[in-house]
Amino acid sequence: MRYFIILLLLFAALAVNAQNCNIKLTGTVTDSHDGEKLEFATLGILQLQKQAFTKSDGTFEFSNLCPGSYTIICRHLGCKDTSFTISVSENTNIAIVMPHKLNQLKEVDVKGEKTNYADAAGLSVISVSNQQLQPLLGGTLGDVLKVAPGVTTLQTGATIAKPMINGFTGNRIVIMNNGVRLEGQQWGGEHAPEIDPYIANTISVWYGAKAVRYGPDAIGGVITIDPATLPYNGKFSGIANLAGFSNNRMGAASFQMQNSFGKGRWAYRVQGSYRKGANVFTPAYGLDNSAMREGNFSAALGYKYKRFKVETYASRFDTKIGLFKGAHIGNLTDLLQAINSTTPFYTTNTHSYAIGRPYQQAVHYTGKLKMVYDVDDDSRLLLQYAIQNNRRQEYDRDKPLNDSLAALNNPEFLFDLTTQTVDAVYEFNSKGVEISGGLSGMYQSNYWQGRYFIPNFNAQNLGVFAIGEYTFKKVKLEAGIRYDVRFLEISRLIKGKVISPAYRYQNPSANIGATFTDVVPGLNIGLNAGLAWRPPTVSELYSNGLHHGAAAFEIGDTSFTAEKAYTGSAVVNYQAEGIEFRVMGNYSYFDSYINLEPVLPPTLTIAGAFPTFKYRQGAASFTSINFSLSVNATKQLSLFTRNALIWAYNHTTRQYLIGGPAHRFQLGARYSFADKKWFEKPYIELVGAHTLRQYLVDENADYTAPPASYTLLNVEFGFTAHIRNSHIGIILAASNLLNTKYRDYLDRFRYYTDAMGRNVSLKINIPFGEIK
Amino acid sequence: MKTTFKKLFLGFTALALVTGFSACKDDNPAPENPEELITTIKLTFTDSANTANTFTVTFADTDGPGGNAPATYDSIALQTNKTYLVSAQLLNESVNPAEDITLEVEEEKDDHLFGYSSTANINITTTDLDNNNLPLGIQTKWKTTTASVGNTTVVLKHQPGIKTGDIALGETDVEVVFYTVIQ
Repeated sequence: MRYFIILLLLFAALAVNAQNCNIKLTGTVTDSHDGEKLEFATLGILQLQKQAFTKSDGTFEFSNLCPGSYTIICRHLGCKDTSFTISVSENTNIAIVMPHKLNQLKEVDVKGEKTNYADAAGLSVISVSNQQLQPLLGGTLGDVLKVAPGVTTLQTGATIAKPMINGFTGNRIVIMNNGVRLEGQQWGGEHAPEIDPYIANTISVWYGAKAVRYGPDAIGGVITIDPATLPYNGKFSGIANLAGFSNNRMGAASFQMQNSFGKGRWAYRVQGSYRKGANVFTPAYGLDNSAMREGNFSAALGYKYKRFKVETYASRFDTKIGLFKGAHIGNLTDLLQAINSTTPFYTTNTHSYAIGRPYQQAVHYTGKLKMVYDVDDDSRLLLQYAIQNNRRQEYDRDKPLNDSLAALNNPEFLFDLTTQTVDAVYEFNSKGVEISGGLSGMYQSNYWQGRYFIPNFNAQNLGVFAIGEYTFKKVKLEAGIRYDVRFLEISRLIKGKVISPAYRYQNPSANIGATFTDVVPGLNIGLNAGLAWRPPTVSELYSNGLHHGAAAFEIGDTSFTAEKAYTGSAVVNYQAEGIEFRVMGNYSYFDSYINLEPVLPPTLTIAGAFPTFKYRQGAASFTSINFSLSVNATKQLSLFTRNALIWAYNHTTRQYLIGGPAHRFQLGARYSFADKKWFEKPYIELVGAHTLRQYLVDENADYTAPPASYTLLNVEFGFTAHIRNSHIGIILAASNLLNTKYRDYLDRFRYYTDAMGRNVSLKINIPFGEIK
Repeated sequence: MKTTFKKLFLGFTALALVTGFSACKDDNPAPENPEELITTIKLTFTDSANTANTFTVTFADTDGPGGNAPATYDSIALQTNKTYLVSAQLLNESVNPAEDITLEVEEEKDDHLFGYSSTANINITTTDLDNNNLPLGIQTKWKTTTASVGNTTVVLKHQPGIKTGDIALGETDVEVVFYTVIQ
């Protein structure tokens, strides 16, 4: 009912909408290949039948526009037509990067003020780029990704976050970091992806047929994180970012610069960032040993000559995260004691940056060599080799009792994973027909030291895929098919004998979809169906041990078969003057979903009884609805709402799955002020976010009942300071403004402590050099 | 240009094959038994009135947590209205010879505390202290009263820097429940 009132309010606001039709939309068009400003590009606004040409400096202007959503079409000789939808409520300046005739999957790079939908109308991909990312940077990658509908995070305290798409996380989503499939220790709930968010120029979430390209296991979707293309023929430019946060006294800084040389044939980029935070504070107390630090570096070098391009990339990610001492648990008795105490043990009131035991440390290296050859105007060939090494070390709260062991200060867990991938892809695009196909190979090996949890293994994967897309007038049909074979060899030493069981998994995956644009003007519909699968992970097959942080005994099962999912989704999107509406429904059915379930009796050890969890395979389904609406109430004021509802159901036990996200609702208002000389694009945004109690799951299915519903208030004020030729972005924000005490169901620390209290942040973005 | 590309392509494929698919296999996995393990707790009872009367009560799970069920899991049988001096011992019997973990607990006694509680009619008091004059609990005195049955729980807590004598604090290293008969 409350929901309906919100809707009514929004429509009422629309009704009193006073139009002010003197908005200017300006911009620049550049060539994606060499960064050249394009003259004589034609721009059209579909809804108004207005047209404009770019001048010699690549700029264009539309004036006297009313607030609203417009479809912009951009054409230039030798380039592929680009169209996108943009919502304008004030004078807006956009940068359009025109791809050469070839379709470059993510290089259709549109930068604007509002969320823009790179694909036809956000039907199968949602992209967040550049300026929209600015307010989000400085936090974890998970925080940044939360901006996409349907994305939530699985937290371990405030400093560890794993992205979750429509309830799927870990090995059921694929993360592409600068074109390389991230291969970390993704099986663990407290293992966050090893990616520097500051590197991103565009972050996209893909659902449709194109996701097939990245692997069979993109059941929940694919997240791509991409830096800007290298600036061949470009001039020196760069960005510096600074951020400070009040709650955990965190400081973050990042620096990036790029240039071209050697007649514009060579281009490079170097980038680095550093974050350091002290203890996290809840409204009532601080958490002992919750400090963190992270340092990242990357460098890219490219060479382009005529139709040939070769690019190399190397990066290092390094983080050390303190784990709140009060969340490290001995056994079931300790856990119950922690749950029953209102204030946890090991609170603090000092803002210490020191990281003691328990803590985790992860170092991730990536190296990449990519070659692209434009066969002719319509097709190109791409080859890529990448190598990654992920080294994760986990330290328990207490050193071993034995002095000589303690002196070594070894991690209790060490996992070291090395992955090499080779991809060969052919792409063709002409007259509404888009075809791509290719091969991908992967070789992976893992070893461990310390306490046993998962065994050593080697895995090899070979995949072949083909994707076709056909556009006819307002209808686009797409289909993707893929076949993968995965070999897995385990190596264990038991009582002095090495045993090496081997497994093979092979299956097809497929996806078909159709999109209908402008069914009635502004209304777009997308439909999609797919078949996805995922081989069981080594942890699901072989884990057998004590998870001290979770006070649980986890047992795998080597008889598991591949997990198969049948998915279907529908999206409806409506964009018109002053209103934007999107609803997306997803349904996935698994006949062999692998889930960690509690079993009785608890495992009896000398340290007491441990709740025991066994991986089990059975039927499950995930249903989700994401709904968003934004309305321009006046020229300055826009109101918006974003909501995500999800139901994850276990068909074997006939109960909702433990650990599924609770329903979430957001309501916000954004007020844009007029520019004043150097004070550009000032705005203030207020968002109320309400999370329901996870009422679906059985109260007794977990150690403790799901936490209560809560509402958080977040506020953000930003502007661009135009000083001489620089445009410095400044954002002042506060999350959990009212310092509300709460616990979230998706936070693994919810048993032990409240979540983070008020956090005021200041972010400064300083571009320098030649600015597009 | 095309031949250059071809060469590069071949070189690239060769590189990928050499480094990737023939990479050395790790055939030297680490043994799966932990470096440090407490497998056994032994309580040695001495009748204070007759010191020749001693007996031990043992819990032993020699392969560590999980795997096989505990190999030895004794009950405590005591006589009514007697006083026993009890000494606790922790062992790692997964290695040969067995390692005495009690020595390491004693070394770090300021950070450790044994706790005892029973639902049978026994009054258990700690008779040893750490360097800060807080109870340690390796040595205890058990005074029985009337005939009864119940459970006796023995706990060892690791309390680095937070020891106050309160058994509720810290992380549990040992927690064993013995079935207890007083007759």
